[in-house]
Amino acid sequence: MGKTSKDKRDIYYRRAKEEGWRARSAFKLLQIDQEFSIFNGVTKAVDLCAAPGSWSQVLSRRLNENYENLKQKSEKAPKIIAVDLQAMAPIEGVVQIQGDITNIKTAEQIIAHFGNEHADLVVCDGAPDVTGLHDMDIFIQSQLLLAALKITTQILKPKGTFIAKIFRAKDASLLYSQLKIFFGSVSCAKPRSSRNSSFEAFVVCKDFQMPEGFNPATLDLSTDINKLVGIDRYIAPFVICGDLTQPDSDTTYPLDFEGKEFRYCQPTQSPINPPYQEAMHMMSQVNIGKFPESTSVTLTGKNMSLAEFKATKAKKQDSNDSQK
Amino acid sequence: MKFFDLTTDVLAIKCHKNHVFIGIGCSLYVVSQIDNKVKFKSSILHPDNIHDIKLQTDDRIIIYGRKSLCICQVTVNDGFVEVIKLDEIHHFNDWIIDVKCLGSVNEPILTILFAHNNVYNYNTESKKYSNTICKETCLLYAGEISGKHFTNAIVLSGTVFQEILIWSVLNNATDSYSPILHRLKGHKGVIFSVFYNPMNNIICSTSDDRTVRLWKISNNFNHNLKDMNWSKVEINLQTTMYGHLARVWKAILIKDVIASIGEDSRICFWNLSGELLHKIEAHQGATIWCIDISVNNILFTGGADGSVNCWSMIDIKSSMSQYSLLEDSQKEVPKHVIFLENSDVLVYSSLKSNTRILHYKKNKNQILDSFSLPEFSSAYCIMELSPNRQKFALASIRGDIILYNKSDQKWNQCGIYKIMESKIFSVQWLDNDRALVCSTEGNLSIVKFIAQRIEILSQHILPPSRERWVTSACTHKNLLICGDRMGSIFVYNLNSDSRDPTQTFKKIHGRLGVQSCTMMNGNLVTTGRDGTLRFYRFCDMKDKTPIIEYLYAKSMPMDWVSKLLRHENDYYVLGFKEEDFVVYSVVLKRILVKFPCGGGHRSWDCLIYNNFINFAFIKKRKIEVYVVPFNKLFIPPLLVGCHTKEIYAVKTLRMPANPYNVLISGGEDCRLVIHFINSLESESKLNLEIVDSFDGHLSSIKCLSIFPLKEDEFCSKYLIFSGGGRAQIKIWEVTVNNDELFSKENISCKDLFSYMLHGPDKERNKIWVGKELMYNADPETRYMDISTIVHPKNMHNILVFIACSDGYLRTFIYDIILNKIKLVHTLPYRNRCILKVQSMLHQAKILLITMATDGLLNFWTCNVENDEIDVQKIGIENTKDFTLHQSGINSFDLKKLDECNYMLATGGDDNLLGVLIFKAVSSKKSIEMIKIVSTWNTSSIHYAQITGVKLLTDNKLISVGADQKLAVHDITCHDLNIHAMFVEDITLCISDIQGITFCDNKNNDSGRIFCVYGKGYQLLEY
Repeated sequence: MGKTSKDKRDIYYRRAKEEGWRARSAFKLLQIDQEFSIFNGVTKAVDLCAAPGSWSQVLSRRLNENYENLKQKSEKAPKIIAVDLQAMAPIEGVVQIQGDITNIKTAEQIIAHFGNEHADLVVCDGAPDVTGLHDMDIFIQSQLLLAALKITTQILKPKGTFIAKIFRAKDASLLYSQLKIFFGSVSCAKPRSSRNSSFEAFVVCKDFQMPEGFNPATLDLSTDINKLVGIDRYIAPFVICGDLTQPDSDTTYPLDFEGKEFRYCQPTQSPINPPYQEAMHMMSQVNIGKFPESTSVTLTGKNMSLAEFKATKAKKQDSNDSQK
Repeated sequence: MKFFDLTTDVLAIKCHKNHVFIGIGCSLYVVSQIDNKVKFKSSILHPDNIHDIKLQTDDRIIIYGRKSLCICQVTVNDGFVEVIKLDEIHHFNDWIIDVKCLGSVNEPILTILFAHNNVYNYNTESKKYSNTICKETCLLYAGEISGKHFTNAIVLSGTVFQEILIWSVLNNATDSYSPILHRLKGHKGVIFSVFYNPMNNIICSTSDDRTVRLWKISNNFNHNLKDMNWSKVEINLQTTMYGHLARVWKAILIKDVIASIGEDSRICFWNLSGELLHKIEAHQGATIWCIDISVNNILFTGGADGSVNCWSMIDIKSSMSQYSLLEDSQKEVPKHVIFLENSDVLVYSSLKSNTRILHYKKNKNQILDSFSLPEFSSAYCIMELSPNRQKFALASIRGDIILYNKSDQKWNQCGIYKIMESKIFSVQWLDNDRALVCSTEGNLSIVKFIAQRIEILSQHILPPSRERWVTSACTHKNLLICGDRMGSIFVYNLNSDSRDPTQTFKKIHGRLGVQSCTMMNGNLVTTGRDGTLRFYRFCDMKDKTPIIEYLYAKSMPMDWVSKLLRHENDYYVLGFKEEDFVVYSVVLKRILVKFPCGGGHRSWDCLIYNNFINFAFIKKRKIEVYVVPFNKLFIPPLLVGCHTKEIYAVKTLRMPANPYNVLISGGEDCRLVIHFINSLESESKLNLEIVDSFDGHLSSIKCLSIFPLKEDEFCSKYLIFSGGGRAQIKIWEVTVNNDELFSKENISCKDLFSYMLHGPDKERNKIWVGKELMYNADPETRYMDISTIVHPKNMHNILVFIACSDGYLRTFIYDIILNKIKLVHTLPYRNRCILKVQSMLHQAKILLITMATDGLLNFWTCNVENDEIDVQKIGIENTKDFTLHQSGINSFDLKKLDECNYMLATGGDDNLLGVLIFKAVSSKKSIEMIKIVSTWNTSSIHYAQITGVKLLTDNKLISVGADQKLAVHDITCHDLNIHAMFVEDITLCISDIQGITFCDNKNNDSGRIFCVYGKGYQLLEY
């Protein structure tokens, strides 16, 4: 695959690099805003599962723009909190919390940062690494969404807005029904920057209201919520976001597009340590990747870092050489 | 609605006695290990997929998947198997990770581990349960329950946070929290499997980090590990195994061998010290999901390609015998090695200036015979064995050939023949008496050996090239076929006086050369160092010598394809991959065995004899011989799969004359597959079988179009246009012979043409201007849909309309006679990816419909004058843009109502299902305008994108979507007004649904057969 083939396949990937977004998903949030005006009057926002941080970038840019425009009205400066298990590169104007969204302490930390106030907007673009088993992936994504919903019920102020990624597939209507319990309106939004062929969509939930008799702290979404959902499943209205003047993520564009000459841009953010990184490094130590069919590495005892492995390997090599 | 055959991910395999229980989608298959036949098939867990199968008692199984579980009774009687649900399906609120039956006869208790790290002790009769929750609530992908009784069970849970947590199930608990006893850290990714083996006190886990890890349990206090107190043991990481090339889903322990399976389609076998024993690529590149072993030591694996493959657990290495010849003789240099017909070994070797032949007894380092050769044969000598392996010829640099044969266990020299006055480059045996001899300047002679003399039957000339010699040859029907070192195939007419080739396939095997020419089932097959088999057929020309027609190529999983060997009913492909010699089975479609030998540049021979594969080669001045029992390698699969990845397009060949249906499919795995449905058999056996699959697409196949060429009493011919990624279109010709009884030989396919819009890779990838690397600015266009129609003024030309992802509608003209395609028109469309195109004749004028990601409906007309084409937009009455959907239109179907009215059904990415009636208003010259007569739509039936719609003749509308739902509507029209009524919907068993196609049902008494496709396919009848 060539260096430019990703640029050719996806205009938003190319644009994200050109405009300094950490991922193409930034455009999805921008297009959702075009349709739903989600940033109006928002001064406190939370980005759950934020890494690599493109949605936090959007929040930071857009909320500060709003603030600049309204400066005379003595509005408060916007506060943005990004939560993720992983650390990510800092973003100006964004406070990072490295924590687990299922942990009650994380919710407490967020509220403390806002000066004991609740958020106006909570967004979540988190998704698991898909396994290829559709029902499993859909289940894990729905659990992620429910976990995000649970912390949202603790940190979102009444009438607030919640946006999260959803996989449109089998059982999506159950999730819509579950969300409908907490929000006045639930829509299924598909930005034009999200591919037509993909399962991905976003739920835009407005007008948050905690139903009576519910305590956010003890809410168990895996069981309690089923009691509330009736047989009539709710189908959220589908809304396409972004007008036809915006590029289409399914279309392949020439590199020189709209009169601009193409210049190759490095990705803004290189991928964060993938789980298989160590395996790849270890395998490449014993083999240059020429004969993968017979390559293996076996380590005994405790975990060994790559550096240690290299050191022991070099040692063995030395002793072998000296024997010769 | 009736479900028939289905193929999708195989997620569960359980061996029990002589039967293998297999979970495919929501269906349970029971296959007998004795005759490999499917004994039972039922969509038992519908609508949920079966993720695992457990044995409860000798005749009871537990089947579960997602949030459902059911207990079934298995009855085996006279070879018949029946599986009956004992109870209704038990539904839970959470995903089931593991189930164990740890009760006794009087306690119908199941212990169930859920994805939120809690365990139920569940009474299957009263449906009451006690719930233990692990103190650490987090999500699990994997886990195992272990113990003797549910009152003291232990849980090993593998979390998304890369840890294995060990905790105990509390007795009679009601939502009680259980503390963590051990926390195993070390994995760098999500845990995908964990199991505990009490026999050797090992925990084995696999993960997203591509490792298999073994954890040793040691007990300092109590040596009796059988009644282990888990809180007092110590658990340490013992071994970490890297070997898989992607995620590792699962591992099982078989005695002292660990078998792990993964996303890389490989099975790795490890010993308990963590050393890799061997690695097999098992499912043609598709993920392997599940694995189990039977009592008779057969290993079964199930994959994403829908197949269940079988493997002998008898370690190939241990059943392989190996010996060396000429090991000690430091000065004797072997040059050639061959097997005789009884697997004796013959070696040509030289010792200083002496050369000799050594005849070794099979499997032994024992010389039966040896004799010296005439002096001239020392420095340069070619040795070739006759096909019956009873004679061999030696050819020299001076143009001599010496022939030896064997009689009464002794080798006799038949004669020395002077063929020519120059160097002999190669000798190719054509049969046991004739050989083709190639000398300098392309001189070829066919020589017949008759007792003491030779006769030159004919002489030919190999066209000039840099390395001008023949590497392979065969004769058939008075034709001589030769392959040369430069990769070309030449055909000579043996009846003609001309010495020049009559047909040439220039560099068909690439520049590294042809390796062999063989006849296979009446067709010619050539192999080469481009890693392919290429197939040709002989076309009989009336009263003339036949000509050869190239059919198609098949890529082999090796770099260098040397030979095709026939043994019993299978063909074996011999070749080299990296440093190994490999034997591939054409029937099993997989590599049977590999021998490390260092690569193909050496003398070698291979023979399948008496149920053994013999392989001999020369390495480091000695002969190595390997012998492997053949029957242990050859275990046919239990179930044969289909595409290894998503299917994007399926089309049916219309052929009323035949009692069966033929389907063509293409998808992400870049393969075109021909299948047939035999509907004459009893209904329960209605299934899809693969005829053959074809390579040639460099990227995924997204769309297909079928153009019927001819139909007569003998056969039907079709052109298949397949398009997809990298802007590639391929044209195939499929011929189906009419026959009451189906046989695969009745269907043949020919690869006619491949065309890439931006040229082949070499020409376009990197463009250098001076020292600067320029990027090719052309987009990576994908072909999304193809529609074909005959040229209105030239019946030998076909108009091919292609919807392209770069927002263009391209029109090509394909000339059937010349087999040439030409781009004649490019229509830009608003920078939107065009998803669908349909062409048809409306009152002798061409009407085109296109649909794109903008959700608009567009009509075009097209004027054709020879090669000139003009595409004009047709306006829609009262509107500039007619919006049908908010975004992409994924599917449509069209039905003609009367002379000028049509019904169009569409399914969109916006969940909207729509039907409209339009009228084409035309004048004598052209189609003037489109009037939308009436519309109807609904967005409350599907809650995900709709990917397939079909309008049936009896007013039914069928739609399928990514929500795995198939919905049926009744669509009627009164005075062109649409009335729609919802009839029913069902949940389908395959995911990622890409469309639905109608298979013409030959059996008119029952309903119609459909094929829904996506991740696999499902056949249904409505």
